Formats: sequence, structure tokens, C-alpha cells
Amino acid sequence: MNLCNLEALVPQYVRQFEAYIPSPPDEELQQMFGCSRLIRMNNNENPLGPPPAAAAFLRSFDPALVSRYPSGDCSPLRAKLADYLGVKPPQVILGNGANEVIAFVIKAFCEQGDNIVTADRTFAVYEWIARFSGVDARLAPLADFGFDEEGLLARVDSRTKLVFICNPNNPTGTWWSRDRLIRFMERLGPDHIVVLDEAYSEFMDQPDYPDGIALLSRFPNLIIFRTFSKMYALAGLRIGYLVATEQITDIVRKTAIVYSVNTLAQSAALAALGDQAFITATRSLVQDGQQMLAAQCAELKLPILTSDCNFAMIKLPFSDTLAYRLLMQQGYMVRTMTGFRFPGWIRVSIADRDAMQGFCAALSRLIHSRTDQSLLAKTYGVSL
Amino acid sequence: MELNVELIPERMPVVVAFAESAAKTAGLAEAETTMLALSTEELFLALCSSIPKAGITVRFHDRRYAADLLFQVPQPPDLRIFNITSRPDHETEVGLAEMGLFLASRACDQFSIRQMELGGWEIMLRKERSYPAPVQQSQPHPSVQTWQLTTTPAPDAVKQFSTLIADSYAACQFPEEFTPPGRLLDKLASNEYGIILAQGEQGELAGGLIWHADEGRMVACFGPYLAAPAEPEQLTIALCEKLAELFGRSNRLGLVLYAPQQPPVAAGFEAAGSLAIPGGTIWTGYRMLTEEFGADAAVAAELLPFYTDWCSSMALARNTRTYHDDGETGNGLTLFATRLNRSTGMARLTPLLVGRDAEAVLEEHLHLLDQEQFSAIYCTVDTGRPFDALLAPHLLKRGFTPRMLVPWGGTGDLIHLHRAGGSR
Repeated sequence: MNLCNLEALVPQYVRQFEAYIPSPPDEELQQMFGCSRLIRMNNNENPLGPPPAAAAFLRSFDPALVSRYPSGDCSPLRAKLADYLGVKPPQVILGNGANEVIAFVIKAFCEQGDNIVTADRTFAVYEWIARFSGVDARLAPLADFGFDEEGLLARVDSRTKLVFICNPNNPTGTWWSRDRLIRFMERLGPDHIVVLDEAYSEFMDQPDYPDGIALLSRFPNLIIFRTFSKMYALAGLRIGYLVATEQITDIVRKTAIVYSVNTLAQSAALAALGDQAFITATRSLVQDGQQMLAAQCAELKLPILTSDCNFAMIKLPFSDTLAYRLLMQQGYMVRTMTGFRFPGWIRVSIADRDAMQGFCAALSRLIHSRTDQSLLAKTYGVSL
Repeated sequence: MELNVELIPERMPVVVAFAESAAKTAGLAEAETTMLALSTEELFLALCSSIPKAGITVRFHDRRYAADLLFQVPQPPDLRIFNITSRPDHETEVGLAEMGLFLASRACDQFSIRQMELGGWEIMLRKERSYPAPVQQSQPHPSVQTWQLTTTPAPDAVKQFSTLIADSYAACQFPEEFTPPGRLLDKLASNEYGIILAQGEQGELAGGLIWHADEGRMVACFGPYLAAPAEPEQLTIALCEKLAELFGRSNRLGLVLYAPQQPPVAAGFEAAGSLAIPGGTIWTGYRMLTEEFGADAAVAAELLPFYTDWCSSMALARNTRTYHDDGETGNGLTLFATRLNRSTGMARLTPLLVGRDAEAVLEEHLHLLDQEQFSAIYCTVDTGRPFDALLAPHLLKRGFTPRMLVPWGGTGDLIHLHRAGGSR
């Protein structure tokens, strides 16, 4: 093939898009940054590991089963989920992680010239999938770290197909109450679909935090996203789902990829679902971790955003990407927030007690260490 | 506008007419149009001689402040002729071609060659529009108590900002292209440049910052330039943070700041070195936009102390390999892309290829630049391109000193070296 033609074959919106580069394996990073161990506090994983029943299933899994295709539409899991959530099985669609489910929905409803509306500082995948699908992503600035109703509504027009609301919001942890969500739905009207991303809903322990699924009968233009990656600690198996009215799932099913959720993921999710003791234990761990982090930040005089979620955002007095590199040298991997349009902030996932203590000490060393850099300044005649 | 043409001398009038038409579309004056046409003529003849009968595409890019002609050729021409020091030789056909390119490079404002990502080579001729000389008009700048940031200021605010820069800062502290106001407005209209202004409630100017996102993975940022804000440190931080926010979710890897004064640490820029320019020195800062996972780096032994010190300061994870000249054959030739700014006396050499003739080619370039009285010459070496390391000893021998490190500025990190005029 003549390489000159390759460029002509690629749509402009794909050409402009920059591929996401995931981090290399831990061993490689440890070698590169010179740390003897690496604690990942960047992906909001549950340090407890999967619920006991899921862990037991995974240990006993028969390898012979992997030669067979999984259930193409995850029917046993859909049945259990539907029962657990109080909906009918056809109202549930599963995917290879919530990211795949986002793609199903955008493909189902959007064509070139359409747009989606969301916040400027939220989970990036809505914006990414829209952009590399040739769909405009209209972004409303957050107000006081939360989704701004007015800003979102102002960006909606007749070509707006989807409005994405991350509730609670990743990375700020802010959330809309039930009343606020209802008010927004009423103002928006029925001509657009609202995607309510509830990836962190199981962490929420607030009386007026809304259950989006319970609002489906009142607002049939709602789609709810949830995942087994966060609370249920099955991130490595990649499994997430959406719940909507049958009218909507009948459409989304057309763009959903069957057989994309593997056998292991489906069965582990079945075992994990609804383990209340595990959820309580996780919430308790998160609460302890949040308190520890808040106390450390108070001591260091660093602004912090905490919430019920298993992450917190911390404002640093210097570059977040520099902080990331310096923390990597100490064996702690955090998420820089420049990519979320919050320069100078880091997002820290809540880990187990030992890791949190270690991280707090590393953060303290980091803040104190950036005050003396005079040697290099003298050598090269610049101040740092 | 696009023209597909065969490289035969008879087609030259068509290409020249295309260039003239492009220049007129871009609003170039008659003298500039003539110069662009002359450059085009010389380049076309040089290409006819280097790769006769090949089919090429000539594209026109209107940058508002300049007209670019892009010659896309399917196969590499004889690259030696693209060094601006190629000397005229009337005896041979190649010599004539070299002379043509020498003239072409002199008649346009920028002349460069690059290998295209998906195959082929692209040679660019850029001719800039001329603007009226800046009018000296010192205006008082009242103290602004509260301000708001905007990335889409009204043209009049941009003009005020251009005047503020010219009035309040020494010529060495800002690029000359930010004045007169008309040129700055055209630069912004090209979409390669952007601006963040801080304005008070009545639109009064508190300060601002200009960025330039050229090709490559870095964004060059200039400023902040401040009027008389009540809290200059806070304004500086706000401008720098807004900048990082703008590019936070982009395909850019970093911001390089050229600052008239060092910003506070909370502005988020790390020191990257300092840049000596005619008339003074400016502080340079760097802000990485992404999470990096480390990299391999090939560095000449002579540059190792500088490189490792800065990597340590910037907490860069690098597997640094000292690169030695072990006598391997390597590339057969050395090729520099040269950017000249005659009005400021600055020249920038970027090695595209480094070969066995590196020392001689560098020497020729420095000789020419000295002759033409360029007082500041810059050269970069890329730690992601091992052969660049072979150039380093020759640069140091000829008075260059390493001044600045830009992580991920090229294939790998870029080490900027500087040679003040007459320092050989």
C-alpha cells in the first residue's frame, strides 16, 4: 500500500485524536523510578480485593470452561441483576467494563453533526469516545467542583443526543441530590437522553443521594451506568452494565457487542453482587482512609476534597506532574489532575491502612523537600 | 489551494504563478510576493535537478501573518542541497541546484524540510507579511484590583496588550512578533497562537500570556506580562494555571515557558534553565502535562553532567546511556534545518541528520552565521536520537554551552545549547 494514501483513509477526527497510553507493568516502572515496590493509588481500586464469594469462585474456577464461549448476553447475570435492582432482565445490558457500555450508547444514538453534553472536568471517556466517533463534545465548566445545571442546559440544542452526568463525579466526588436531579430532568425535558454514571454509587452513604434506577419509571429518557470494577473489586475482569427502559435497551442492544464479557467476569460478578457485609467493610475502610488523608493535609495546609468515594483530590503548591514523578520515586503512583483540567491537583485512591500511612509520610516528605533546591540553582545560575 | 505538477523545468511558470496567486490571497505586498516567487523558482529548479520528473504536490497554507508554500515530494531529494551553507558551484548541475536553494533560503523568512509521518518529504517556504513599525505610545496602566480571565478577548484588548508589552518590557523579554498590534492579532487569527488576558470589571488590562502551539508536542508560552495588578503573584499563578487547564486534555506533552521574570513555584512551572538572548537572559520553565513512565536516553559524555543534574532536579526517570563515537558508519551526511531571525540576530540549528561530516557542516554553518552577524546561535540535541549525541562534542568545542532541558521536546528530551556571537 502506498503510505501516502493511508492518511486519506483516516477520518480527520481520528487523525487528531491522541491514543491513550496505559502505564507499563509495575516491574518496569519500579526499575525506571528506582523504587523497590509500587503502590498504585491512581485507579480507585478496592484494596480489599473481590468479595469472599467471588474470590472463592475465582480460586475454584475450572480452566476447562475457558474453551467455551461465555453466555453471549450474560443472561444468568442479567437475571440476577434485574432481580437485585428491581427491573426486568431486558432492561440490563452488560459490557466489557463501563467504558464499553459508554461506547454502545454513543454509537446507538449519535451520528456526525450530533453532540453530547457533559462537564469539562469529569471522567474523560465520554468526551474521548464522542470525539473519536466524530461527535462534538460540549463541555460545561463545573461550578464549585460540581456539575452545573445551568451550564449543561445552556449547551443543549436540537442536535444534543446525550447528556452525561457523573454522579458522584469522578474526580471531585461531588454529587447531585435526588431533588436536584429531578429538577434537572424536568427542565431538560424528554427530547434528550440523560446518562447517569453511577460507577461509585455503592460507596455513597447519604440519605438524599438518588438511586437513578428508581427514577426510570418517571423519566424514561434516563440511562444508568454501573460497574463491578470499583466497589466489587473486579476491575481486572472488566465488567460493567447499563440499566434503562426496554425501549432504550432495545436500541442500545443493536450496537452492543455480544460475547464481550468473559465467563470468568460474568460468574465472579454473579457471586459478588449484593454482598452487604463486604460493602460495609469497604465503606468503613474508605472512611478511615479519607480521615487519615484529611488530617495529613490539614497538617501540611493542603486543600483537599474528600467524599464518600474511594478517592480524594489534593491541591499541591507546585506542579501535579512533578509531584507524580517524585511520589513515584517513593513508590506511590497517584493520578495527576492536569489531564482532568485541574492543574496542580492530584487524585489519590484510598488504599489499606499501611499504604495510607506510607503515602501520608511520602506526601509530607514531598512537600518539605521542594523547599531546598539551591545546589542546582548555584550551578546553573537559575533559581528554582 | 493545491497544485500537482511534474518536476520538469518547463513547468516552472505554472508553479511560480501558483506561488504569486497564493501570496496575493494571503495579502502579501508586492515586494514580498516577488521574494516568495523567487524562492519558489529556485526551489523548483533545485528539485527538478535533484529528482527529475517526479510528481510533486504544492500546497498553500494561509497563516494570516504569513504564506506557506509546502512542496511535498514522494522521495528524498539530495538532502545535501538543503543545508543553507551549500555553496554555489557554477560548474556542475548539482552546484547550480545548491546555489538556487541558497538563494531560496535567503529570500524567504523560513525554509525547512521535514520527513512526513506517513511517507514522503515536505519542504516549506514561508514568507511573512510586513507590518507598520510599532508606534511608541506609553500609556499609564492603572492598578487593577479584581480581574477575570478570558481566552477570547476583543481585538482592542489584544492591541492594548501588545502595546503594554512593548511599553513595559525590554525588547529581549518578548518575541518581536508580538508587536505591532496588527501582527499579534494576525498571529492569533492563525490559531497557532492563543492568548489569555486578565481584565478588570471595566475591561481594563491586568496582564496576560501568549502561547504558540506549533507542530511538535510542546506548547511555547510567553509571559506572564503584567500591567499593574494589585496582586501580581496571584495573577501570575492564575494565568499559568489557566494555560495548563487549556492544554491538560490535549495531545501536547508539555508547556515551555519563556518568562520575563521567574513565576512563583505555585504557578506550576519547574525551572528548565535559562536562555541567553541578545540583550539579556530570560527564565525558562517547564510543565509536563502527562504522567510519564520514564525513557531511555542517549547522551554524549560531554553533556552527561548537565543532563543528569537536570534529570535529577526534574525527577525524570531515565535510563541514560552514554553515547560514544565508536567509528560506525552511521548516516552519510549531516543536515540542519535552519531558522533565522535577522532582526534579532538569532539563529536556530536543528539537526535533522547527523553523519560523519557533522564537524565540517557545523563549521560551515557557524562560519556563515558569523559572517552574517548572527549574535546568538542555538542548537538542540535530542536524547531520543542517538546519532545527535555525535554532534555534541563538536558543538561544545565551538563555544556552545547547554542551557536548557525540555523533557519530551523531541523524540526524547531536547537539550538546548547556546553560543553567543564571537564565542568560538
